[in-house]
Amino acid sequence: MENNSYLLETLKEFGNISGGNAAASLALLMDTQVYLSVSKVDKMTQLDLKTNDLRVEEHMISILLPFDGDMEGMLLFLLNQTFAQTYLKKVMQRDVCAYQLQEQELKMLEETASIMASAFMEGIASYLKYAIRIQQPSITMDMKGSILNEVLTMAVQDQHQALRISRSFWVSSCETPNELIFLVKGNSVDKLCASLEVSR
Amino acid sequence: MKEILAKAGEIVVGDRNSIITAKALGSSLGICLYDSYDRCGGFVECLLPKCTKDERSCYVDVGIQQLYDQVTSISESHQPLIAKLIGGASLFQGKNQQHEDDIGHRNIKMAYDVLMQLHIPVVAADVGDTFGRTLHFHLDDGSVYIETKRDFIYHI
Repeated sequence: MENNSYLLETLKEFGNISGGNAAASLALLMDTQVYLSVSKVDKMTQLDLKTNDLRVEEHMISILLPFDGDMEGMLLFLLNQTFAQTYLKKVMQRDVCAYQLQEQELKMLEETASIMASAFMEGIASYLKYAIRIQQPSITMDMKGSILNEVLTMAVQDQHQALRISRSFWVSSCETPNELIFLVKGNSVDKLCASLEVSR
Repeated sequence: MKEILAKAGEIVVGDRNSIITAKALGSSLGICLYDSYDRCGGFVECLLPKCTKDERSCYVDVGIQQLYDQVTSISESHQPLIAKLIGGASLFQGKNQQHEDDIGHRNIKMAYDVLMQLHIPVVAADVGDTFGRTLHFHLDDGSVYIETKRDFIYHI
C-alpha cells in the first residue's frame, strides 16, 4: 500500500473508532441509539473550500472546538435544527424553539459537543500518545455554507494541505443527518505523518 | 435577466442583463466592481487576504487585480469603476479569537489597500459582523441585494 493511501486509511480508521466513541457518549446522554455513516477522509487545499453541497443556505447550529498541544486543528459539529430541538427536548424535559435558542439551551449544546469532542479525541490521543488540549467551544447559528467557508479557511490558511475526517450521525427520532468534522491543520500533518511513519 | 452563480475564487463578469449571485459567504469577501456608464461589471469571492505561492484569484490581492483587468477589458467607455464589498464576517468571534487575527478582518483590510492602489472608490460596504451573507449583484443598476440568516433582505 502506498504511503499516501496508508495515511488516509489510517485516518479513516481513527475516524471510525473516534466517531464511535463520540456517538456512544451522545447515545448515553439521549438514552437512544445513534447511527453513524462511515468516515470520509480527504486532503484539502484552498481551492477545495467551497463544497458543491446544494444545501449551502440551510440554517444549521454549529459548535466549533479548536484543539492544540501535540496536534493542532478543530472539531466542528453541524447540527440541523430539528435534531437540536429533539435533543434539547429530551435532555431538558421541555419544548424548545430551535430558531430562537436561549442562553441555557446554547450552553447545553456547547456542553454536549464538548463531551462528544472529548470522547472523539480520546481515541486518537491514546493511540498516538499525544497530549491534546480541547479549547472552549464557540457556537453559532447560520447558513451551512458560511460556517464551512469560515472554518475550512481557518484550517488551510497556513497554505499547507489540511486533513479532514467527516462523519454523519443521526437518531431514529430525527433522521436528518448532522455532521462531525475533524480537521488537522497543515502544520500538524507532518508530525502526524512522522508518528504514523508515513510520508504525506 | 441572466443569473450567474459565482463560485469562490472564480471571476465572473457580465453586462446589464446579468445578475451575479454568490451564496453563503462567511469570512470570505465578495468584491463587486461596476462601470455605471456602460452598466457592466464583475465579481470575485476571495477566501484569504494575501497570495504568497501562486497567482490565484481566491486571494484578495490577486483576485481584485484580475477582476479589474477583466472588467476594464469588457468596458467600452473606460470610465472609472466603483467597488462594493460584502462579507468578511467572523462567525465564531468571541472567546477564542482576537479581532485583528480574523480572516474576515484581514480580507477587508487587504481589499481596501488594493482598491486604493487602483484608485477605485468603495461606494458601499456590508462587511464584518458575525453572520453569513448571500448576495445578488444586479448589473443593470449596480445594486447589491443581501440576504442573511434570518431572511432579512436589504440592498447597498
